[in-house]
Parts: sequence; C-alpha cells; structure tokens
Amino acid sequence: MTGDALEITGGAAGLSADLDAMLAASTLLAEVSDDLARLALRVAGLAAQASASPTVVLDALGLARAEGELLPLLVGPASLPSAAARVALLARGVRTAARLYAEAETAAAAAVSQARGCVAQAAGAAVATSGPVTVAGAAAAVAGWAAYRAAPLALDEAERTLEEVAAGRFRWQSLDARLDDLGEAVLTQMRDDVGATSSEAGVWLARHPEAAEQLVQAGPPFLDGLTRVAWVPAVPASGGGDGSPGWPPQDVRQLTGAVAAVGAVAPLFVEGRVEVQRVEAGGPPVVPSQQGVTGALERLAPYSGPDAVSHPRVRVERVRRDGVTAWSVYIPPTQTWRFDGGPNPFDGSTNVRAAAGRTTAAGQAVRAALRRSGVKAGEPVMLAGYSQGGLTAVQLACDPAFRKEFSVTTVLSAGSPVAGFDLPADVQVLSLEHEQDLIPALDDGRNADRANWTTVRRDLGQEAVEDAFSGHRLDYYIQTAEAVDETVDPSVTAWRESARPFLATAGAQVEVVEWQARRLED
Amino acid sequence: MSADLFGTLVPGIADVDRVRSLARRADDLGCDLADCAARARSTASTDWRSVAADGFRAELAATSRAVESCAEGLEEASVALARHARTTEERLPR
Repeated sequence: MTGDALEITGGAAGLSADLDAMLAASTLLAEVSDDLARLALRVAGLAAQASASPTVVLDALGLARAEGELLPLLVGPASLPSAAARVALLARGVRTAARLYAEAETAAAAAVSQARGCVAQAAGAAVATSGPVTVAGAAAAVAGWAAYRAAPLALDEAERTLEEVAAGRFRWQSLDARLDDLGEAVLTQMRDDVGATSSEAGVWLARHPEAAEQLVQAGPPFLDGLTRVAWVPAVPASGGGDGSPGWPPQDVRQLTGAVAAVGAVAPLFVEGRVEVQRVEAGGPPVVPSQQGVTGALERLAPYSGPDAVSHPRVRVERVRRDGVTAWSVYIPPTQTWRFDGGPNPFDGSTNVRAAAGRTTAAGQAVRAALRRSGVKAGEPVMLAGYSQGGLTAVQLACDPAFRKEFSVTTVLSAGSPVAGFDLPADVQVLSLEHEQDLIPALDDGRNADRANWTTVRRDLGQEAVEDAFSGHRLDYYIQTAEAVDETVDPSVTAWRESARPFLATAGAQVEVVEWQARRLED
Repeated sequence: MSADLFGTLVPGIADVDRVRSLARRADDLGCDLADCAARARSTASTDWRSVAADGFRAELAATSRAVESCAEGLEEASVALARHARTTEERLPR
C-alpha cells in the first residue's frame, strides 16, 4: 500500500491556531508596550529626583555621570518611549496581518464555492439537455466530476487572491468580475468534458471516490441547473414558510432532513425508544494490549464485522488511576441498513437522522449505557466511534443536553462524515479519514480547521481500493491509527494528551462493561 | 563653621540615603526592563503566517535589543548613583 504520509489539519498546529497565536502575540506585545511606557515614566521620575539631589554640592561630577546614563533612556531613538511606540506599532501590525489572513481565507473559500456552483449548475443543464436522465447517480457523477476537474482552476484563483490580499494589493471591488471570469474559464474547460464523459461517469465515480465530496457540495446547484432546463413536477420553493425543507434542498442537512421527514407519513427513519441491558454472558471483553488510537479502534472491531448485527452493543470502560475516574465509550458503526425501525438502533435510520441533525436511537443507547454505568457529573468522558459511531460521538459531543449530563472532553472519529458539526471549544476531537473513503465525504466538505479539532487524512493509494467502499474498511483505519500513534505532529500530540486518561490504560484499573441496545416496538 | 551653617550648606546623611534608594530603584527598573525585553522576544517563537514574518521578527529583535540596552543603561545609572552616594558620604565632614 502506498501513500503512508498523513495529511494533518486543524488542532493545536492548525490554521486557526496560527491565527489565534498571532492574535495572542499581538496582545502580549501591546502589554509589553504599555509596560515600557509605564517604566519610561518611572525612569523619568527617577532622573528628575536625581538631578534635584542636594548631594550635587559634594560630588557634581559623579551625579552628572549618573544623569548622563539616564538621559538616553528618556530621549532619542534608543529611548524607552521610542521602544514603547515601536512595540505598539508591532502589536498593531501583527493584529492587522492576522485579520488580513482571516479575510483572505474567507475570500478564497468564497471563490472555490462560487466556482463549484458555476460548474455544477452548468453540468445540470448539460445533462438535462443531452438526453433523458435515466440514472440519477450517473448524472450526479458528472456534476461531481466536472466540479472536481474545475477545482484546480478555482484553487489557483483562490491562491492568487490570498497572495494579493496578504500583500495589500487586492482590490475588493474586483471580486465579482474575477469570479465571473473564473466561471467562464471553468465552463470553457468542462464544455467538452461533460459530453465525452457522461456515459462513463458512473464508472469514473467508482474509480475516483474522492469526487464524492465535490459531488455532495455540488448537489444543490446541480439540481438547480437540472430543474431549470428539464421538465420536473411542480415542487415547493426552498425554505417553505411551513418549516418544510423545500426543494431543491440547499445543503446536505436539508437533503437528509427532507428524507427524514418521510417518517411523518411512513414507518421509516423513526428513532423509537431504546433500552440497554448489561451483557453478562462470555465474561468481560478483553482490553487490548495495544494502546493509543490503535487500541481504541481495535476495541471497535467486534462490533464492525459481518456478524456485527448480532452485537448491537456499546462498550463502556471505567479507567481509574491515582484516584481519578475517566470513562471511555466505544460506539458501533452501521450494523444494518434497515430504515424501518427494527430492533438494532445502529441502523440506516440513525444515519439519516444524524445527518439531518436529529436525535437518534444510537445516541439514546449511548446515553442509557452511561447512565446505567453510573457515570457521575464532572467525570471526564471520551466518545470513540467508527463510521456511524463517530458520527454519533460528534453529534452527542455537540448536544447541549448530553453535555449537561456528561463531561465530554475527548472525541475520536474514524471514517465518519462530521464536517457539518459546530464542535464546542472545550472538546478535543481527532478525526481520521481516508482519501479513498466515500463515507467521510458525505457531508458538506472538509472538517473545520480549529484549535481543538485535528483531522488526519491518509491517501491509501489506488491499488488498495478494490471497490468504492474498501477505503472505508476498519482494518485500513487501524493501520492509519498505527501511523497516528507514531507521529510527533503537534496537533496530534495535543489530542493524545487529552486522551491520555482514557487510552493509556497500562497500570490503571480498567473495568469493561458491554451494554446490549435494543429499539423497543411501539 | 557653626553646626547650623554646616547643616545649611552640606547635605545630610538622609540625602545620601535617598541617593542610595534611587540607585536601588534604578536597579529594579533595569530588572523590569530586562523582563519586558524577554517577553517581547518570546513572541518571536510565534508561528507567524504573515508574508511579512521576517520583517516582524527583525523589528522585534531590534526593539528587544533596544529595551535590553535601556536595561543595561539603568544598571550603569544605578552603579553611578551608588558611587555618587559613596563619594558624597566620604566627603561629608565627620
């Protein structure tokens, strides 16, 4: 397998952390400037008292020497007031630079987003006019593919914008015109591509799952382009006043929300009520000798295989060391693709509901397992999950009611679409993703670059991908975890420190309990 | 010379003590300045993303050097004041 290099974004060494560090440095410099100004006043007072000392009568030369040492500190380019002013200017300069960078990032993101929209809209129109849309997946693949091809153009433009803003040369008035030019360039490039590739789009998507992310992002404008040209049934406008999702959906959350709304009229995508029972048979599960992220993912293996459907269980570990108790919770991935409210809560309904930002049966199972385990208020909790489990972990970490009851400090997700969540600042998150994994791409884009959110992406290499979903395999993620455990990257190191109470189990007293979860029949 | 006249023309021991106190204050201020310079220098370890990072670092280094130079100047002033106090004391009539 090639591509062992890890791409690490966010976390303690991420972009936002850099900007935060610049702003913190600016604050520090401003404080230094204030202190220098105050010290200059005190030196001036000291000099005034020295020059007025009556001892001059007995040693005029000696006093003059002392005054001679003090004077340059108060007047001239090397004086304290001058240094205070220079530090103040420096503080302002650093702050301005940080703000410019933040604005440049926003402008770059806007440029990329607009380019995607142009491409996808045109692709939708092209598909609609080139013949009947018989395979929706193939049509969407064209949009994803075209957006993928257009990305370099958009990124080049974004990079130019970034450089110009940073150098102070960018004219904000020119932004609209430049985006129009960018759209034209993208359209020119894709005009031939769309026609030539539409028949092969589905095959191409399977070979290039990385386009899935572009595809999802391009969804709403693609639908817009499609529905403007092709005949479509009358549908309500987006964002209807009745609170319905409307059509076309404007983002992934609306899209899944629309699907989940089906539950109102059909027995699908229901959450139901969940109960958990302590698993007694077979003795307590083994604690892997492997520690760190690798050990965490190995703990999830029994719930992830082909036979996992018979193990709808949440694993809870109580780790005691030096009188401190910490809890780690291991949440299974999707174990069945049923959408009809079957007994297993780790099902397709939970996927759809979680993506739509709604409460889920899996979330209920985790909450019940923690309550039954006797977790006390204030005791630190780590949530770890693979695939749907990671999605559930992040969703619970963002849920104010859950956080009020449990002190979530640390989250680990692997192969989970979690980009759409706004994580609390006091939760340290590590997300593992593979370039060839379609599942983490099924959200609205890349994970946010935040000081408390580290994302590790790994390129598995094409030869490791046997089909569209092999990039999602847990054993590949365990291999990635081994690389993560070895890296000394500062963002990963910072997360590792937060996870130490949960994962460094050597020498600690560890008690493991499995909780069997079941959705009750209504 | 009478004692009254002596008291009028010649500074007393109290003034020498005041000069010694000024010397100590100068020394303390020098320490505070050195601390300021160290704090300013510590920001140079920031992972600057600015294209002007080198310019920032150069300005920071120059300013820190200037502040350190001021701290050294205060140390010199403290020594000069202490020496002046000693000389004054030696020249006081006994």
